[in-house]
Amino acid sequence: MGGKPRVAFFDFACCEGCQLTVLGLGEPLIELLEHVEVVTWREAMSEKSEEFEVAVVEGSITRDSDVPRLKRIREQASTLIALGSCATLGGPHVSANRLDQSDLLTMVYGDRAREFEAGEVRPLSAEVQVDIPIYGCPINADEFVSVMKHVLLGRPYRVPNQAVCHECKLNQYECVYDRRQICLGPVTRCGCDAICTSRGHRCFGCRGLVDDPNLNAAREVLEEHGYRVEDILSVFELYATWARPEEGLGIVEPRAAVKSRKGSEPWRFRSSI
Amino acid sequence: MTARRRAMLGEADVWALLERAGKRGPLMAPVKRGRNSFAFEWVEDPGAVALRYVRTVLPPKRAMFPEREAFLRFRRPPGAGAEAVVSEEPYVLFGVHPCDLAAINQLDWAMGRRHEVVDPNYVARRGAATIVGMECLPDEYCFCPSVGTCDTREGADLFLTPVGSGYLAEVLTGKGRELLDGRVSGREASSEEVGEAEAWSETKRRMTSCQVDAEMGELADLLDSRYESQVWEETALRCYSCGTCTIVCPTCFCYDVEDRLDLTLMSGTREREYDSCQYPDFALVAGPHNFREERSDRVRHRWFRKFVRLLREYGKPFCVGCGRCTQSCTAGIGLTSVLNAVIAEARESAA
Amino acid sequence: MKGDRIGSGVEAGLYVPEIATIVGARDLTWQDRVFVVELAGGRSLGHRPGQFVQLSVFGFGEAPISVCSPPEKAGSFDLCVRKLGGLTKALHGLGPGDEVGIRGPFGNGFPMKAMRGMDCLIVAGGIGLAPLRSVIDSIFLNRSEYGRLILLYGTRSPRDILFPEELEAWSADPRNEVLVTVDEASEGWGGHAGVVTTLFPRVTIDPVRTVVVALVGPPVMYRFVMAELEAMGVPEDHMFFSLERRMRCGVGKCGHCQVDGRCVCVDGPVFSAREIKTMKESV
Repeated sequence: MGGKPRVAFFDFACCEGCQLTVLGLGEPLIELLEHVEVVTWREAMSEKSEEFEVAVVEGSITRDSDVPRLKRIREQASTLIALGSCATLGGPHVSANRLDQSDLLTMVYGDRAREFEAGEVRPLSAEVQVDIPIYGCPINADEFVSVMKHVLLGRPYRVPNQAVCHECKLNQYECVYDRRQICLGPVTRCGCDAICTSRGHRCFGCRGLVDDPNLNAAREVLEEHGYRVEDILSVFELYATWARPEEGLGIVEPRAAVKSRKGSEPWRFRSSI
Repeated sequence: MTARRRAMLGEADVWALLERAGKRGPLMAPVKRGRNSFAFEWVEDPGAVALRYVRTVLPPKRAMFPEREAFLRFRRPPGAGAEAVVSEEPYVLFGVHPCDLAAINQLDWAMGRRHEVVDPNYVARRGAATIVGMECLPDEYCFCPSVGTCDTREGADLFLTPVGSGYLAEVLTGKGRELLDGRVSGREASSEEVGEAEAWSETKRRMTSCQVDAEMGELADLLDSRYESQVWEETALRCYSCGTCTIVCPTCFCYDVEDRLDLTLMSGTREREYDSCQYPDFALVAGPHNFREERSDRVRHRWFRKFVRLLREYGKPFCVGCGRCTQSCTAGIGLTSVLNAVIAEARESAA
Repeated sequence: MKGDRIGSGVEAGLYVPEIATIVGARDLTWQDRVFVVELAGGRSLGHRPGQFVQLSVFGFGEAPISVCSPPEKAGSFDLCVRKLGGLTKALHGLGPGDEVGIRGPFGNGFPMKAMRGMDCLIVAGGIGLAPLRSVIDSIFLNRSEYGRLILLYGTRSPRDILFPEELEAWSADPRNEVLVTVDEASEGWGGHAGVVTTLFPRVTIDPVRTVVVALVGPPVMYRFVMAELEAMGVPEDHMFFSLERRMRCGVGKCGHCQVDGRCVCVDGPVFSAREIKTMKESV
């Protein structure tokens, strides 16, 4: 491509917080603009263009009428980046899929329900090929910069596939389990630099599951900590509903000998989350 | 045993020593992070140092083998170039427990001498260190007596043992003497005080509840005979492959390498970061073929690496009994629990 | 962090690539490209056949690549690279005049001494021919020191055949036998079809005076080749296999190439069948 690659930002159903994170980058954003030309970005500028090489798309697909627009973006872009949990996983509003659509519309819009369209909430990958997913709710700004550098260099981006524990331990944060809370860190994809556990929160799983999560272990461990299956599912459903494999949730009891004190004598936890 | 100078320091003397060490250069020491969580950190305020702690999240190896480290600066072509990034700035590493000292000695071999190859970054940082060891008491996860590390002094330049209201300081090297001399007003320890310090070893042994049910000399053969044990599969049912056990391990030294570009896109750094044999793609090669694809393969690898392979090569297990892996495993997988289950199987099948 | 040079006694440059220049490059197949690389001042790499270098494409990283030219070649060395990941794709975009980083050579290499005076059976699978080319060329340049040379080469399809002109040249020598097979024969392929082990019945060897060197692709092929050779009566310490691992450091530190207590990068990549049999998870 001649000249600077042209970048366009788009959004579907989302809070636009991930784009806001990019806008808030400060100096690195200015430096990035040395290398790219932003041609469309509703949140940041009034100009628009249909000509671009890199599309950065935030948000999930919730209406069938959104699909043609997404497909047009896909056709135009040589690289399509899905930005944030909504675009990569469907986002927290995937929970709407559990309800009846017309009930849901009535619940939200009352008498005017028929004026609105709603459908199954799904990630971009359900409709088009995504080249690079940037997970997170919101995204990690540093990861966005890193992804852009990879795109500019023509280098494939290796999406992090370790658990959040990896980054949590590298940063030496106190283990959430040692604070007598549960945490989705052991099965959640890292790349966030363990930002939630650094602030005393638990991991909510916003980057989705790692490629090969041991859900059997997760369920067993959480049950030992006093949670019921419904609680466990509701923890996962915030972000991992779309991707949650139905298999692998059965429990196989390992021999007691391989469990340490910590496993065999579960602490007493409150039974709801 | 070589004659060492033993001095009695009051607690105020130790604070003074920390103060001086902090003024002289960088100081890494344990600080309190959470209710029961400590971390070795570069401290600005020596007053924040925790003199008593059981274990830290990451071991003190991070002083000489940081969890993330840029070791090369490069320029992309045209006019490509590359130069080493190595730090030799002297620093004090304070409060290292005997098990972690033993681990540093093992890393001195693995990074410094193994295969007759010297890792320049590790060795430079190691050489720049003045290490102050500190005696400790075990909790339910410690098993240093089993692996023979609880009386380690080697690797420390100065070693402190709490005695009465103060500390008995053993001066072990010239660096240790230099750190102490003229900075704090120690007095010569009495024979009672020396006796009290020496009694720590016995106290630690008595207080340690966790253990390995085999002598280190027989361990490799015992495990080797149970390569096909079901214990690996059973452990894998509980294992997240989250890598925590290896990331917090004071003797693990595997790393991954990645190029990171500056925003100029013309120059950057090559960085290494702790890697883990528990991650699914650790043994992946082109093809693709994964030599340890199953979680149980990776679980077994960890015990075999520490208690069979490196034990045979180095002569001691690559485990110092610090208890970090067991304490920090959210799935509750115990290093000695698994080890002992395999040992029991091996003895049973041999009987 | 300071960029100081390290004090005496320690080699600061262990991880520092030397800047080298690509002086020639040509496509061998749709996915393989061979690069001729020159160190500063035409300095010799000083490698043995079967050794590898760590090749840097700055910004993309570093990857282990076997040297595919013989040590006797002066002034430059050859690297044959398959386009697989980001680094190799970037490398394929480079040509004469472009700069790369080189560390090495690393590893033990093939047992050229043990092969002297013996018949040499070379078994190559796919890209495995590249490092073995350094062995074959070295034998050619010192032809009288070796006995027969038999090359069994299997690759996926006719369009994947590496070094076709050289295969011709090698087979022209009456002391050599070169047999090529493809897994998937395409239209117009008049040669043998089948995996590399199907070539074994077509050659006769004196198992006692033969040394085998092999690099045969996926691990399962190593086991098949080993079994075939044993059936032919080749002693296990006369068979040498080069193992593939993804080394990060090349010097026995990073841990990625550990196989049952050995480091492929420093103890290997070439091991005898006797060693391989005792090494768990090796093939």
